[in-house]
Amino acid sequence: MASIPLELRPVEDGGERRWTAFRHGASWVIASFVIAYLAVGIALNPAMRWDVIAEYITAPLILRGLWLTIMITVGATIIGIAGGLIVATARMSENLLIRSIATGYVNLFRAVPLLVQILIWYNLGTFLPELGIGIPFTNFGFYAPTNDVLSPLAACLVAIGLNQSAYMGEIIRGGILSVQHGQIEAAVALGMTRVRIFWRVIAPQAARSIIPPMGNDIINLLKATSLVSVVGAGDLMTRAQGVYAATYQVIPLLLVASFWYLVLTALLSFVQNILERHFSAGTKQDHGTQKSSAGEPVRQLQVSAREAV
Amino acid sequence: MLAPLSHPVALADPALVRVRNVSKYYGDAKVLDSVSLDVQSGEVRCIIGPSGSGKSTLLRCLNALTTFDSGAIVVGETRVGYTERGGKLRPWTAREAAAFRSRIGLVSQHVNLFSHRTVIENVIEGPKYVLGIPDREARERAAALLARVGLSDKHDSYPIQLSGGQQQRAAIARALAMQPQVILFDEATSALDPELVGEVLAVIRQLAADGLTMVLVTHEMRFAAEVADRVTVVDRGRIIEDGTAQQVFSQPNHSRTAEFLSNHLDLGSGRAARIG
Repeated sequence: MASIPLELRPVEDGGERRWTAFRHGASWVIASFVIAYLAVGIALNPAMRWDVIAEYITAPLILRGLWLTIMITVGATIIGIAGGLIVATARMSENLLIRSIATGYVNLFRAVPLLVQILIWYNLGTFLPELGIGIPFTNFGFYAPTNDVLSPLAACLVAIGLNQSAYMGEIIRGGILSVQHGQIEAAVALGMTRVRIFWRVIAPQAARSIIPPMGNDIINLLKATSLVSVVGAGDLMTRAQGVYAATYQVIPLLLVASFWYLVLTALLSFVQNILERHFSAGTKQDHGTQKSSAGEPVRQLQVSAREAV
Repeated sequence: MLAPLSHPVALADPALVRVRNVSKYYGDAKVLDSVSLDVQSGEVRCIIGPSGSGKSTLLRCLNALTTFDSGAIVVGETRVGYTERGGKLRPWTAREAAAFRSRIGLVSQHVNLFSHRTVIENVIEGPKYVLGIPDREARERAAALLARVGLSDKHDSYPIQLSGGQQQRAAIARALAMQPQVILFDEATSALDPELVGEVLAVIRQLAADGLTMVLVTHEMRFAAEVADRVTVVDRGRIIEDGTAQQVFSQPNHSRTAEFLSNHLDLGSGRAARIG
């Protein structure tokens, strides 16, 4: 053996691989056991009123709440993306005043807890009795009582939408900054105008880095809509609370709400995956045909070494 | 300081590109110092010189990717940076600047193909979205251009799937698709692996033979000597030499030219002699 050069000596496994396989298998067994234990414990808990869950999971009241949760999420996402585009553009403006206003906006809306913002918008009527548009310092204009303009639902939409704009603005800005300058220069050299460069070159490339954090953010938004239950806007969480306040079936109703949040989140993740795949075109060298296996090169080396011996 | 124009401009046949006393500063640093040069229609002009001498800046002034502080550049009927309105020259609007750039091709060392579009999509992007050519016609023309640069089998590949040389050839096709008056090459081969340089140079050589007007900033001295109608040597922002390839390479007037050439031609004077 000693006469064989070091690079040609076969490699011994030393039981390392068997031990790894054992640990791997053991962790699965333990995990399955723990999950089974928890599942059985929860399922057979007498306080676990499956009948209550079954009754309420598709109850019209809950479904109306679910619908409203979806509406608030969609509405706030639209406000958030539109506002975020404005915030991102303003944050990158060459004009110092515009840049400062946008920066101030982002810092303010990220600093104040969303719950506080919702309560402020909901209670705005106590501070500004009338809202409207008019010429300052004159009587000309259209005004209406704040509480008529800002229903609880509208107050929530405004609060969450404005908050969302601040976060979305930063995500969009980050995405735009991630586009390589050469790509923009090539578009300029082709004679494309600024708007066209944005939509044809910057936006599709920025989307690659925007979509993952944006998906994250919208999922957070979906769950944050449960905060509007504090003003009784009638969303999923408000409805669930309303039911358990009357029936004392707290955990089953919270599970009903959790179930629907889980379904919506899964749906959003699904959409995110599709979008990610769509915008990833041109980022991978191979077409996904190459299979790489970590152990491959070493094993090949071993084989050839044996042949050499 | 004014570099002498080697051939006087005849009124009857003005040069396609006319650069007159162009100076540009970055703060106190003078990157271009009273540069003047003419490029005739159909001419292949190589600009050579040490790194940081201002060659690339000069090139970027030609297609208005950067501005200059004094002097004037005219391409065809257009005074770069200005448009005539009511008998007066007014600064360009963004749209006018874009329209001008669409007439000047640029192939840069960084290639910069649009990474999210396939090769053919890259080539039809300008014709479709800048010139407003219908999709089918743009695709037909793109296919012909891709055949010309030897990429007929790569229409649907993404840039990342191509070699550096193939990418640069696609970038040349993209520039050609705009049917530009002039094509600028900014060190088009200097970021390529040595074995890929040849295929790109072969394409450029073919374009030269086809009579395109080209201005090339290059470090490929052998290539410059072969394809250039005229060679301009830039040093520290000034044109120190301007003449036919033969004049510049075999009988440089300026000592800095001789110095630069001996640094860049591995065979030194022997190389120059062979060109001569």
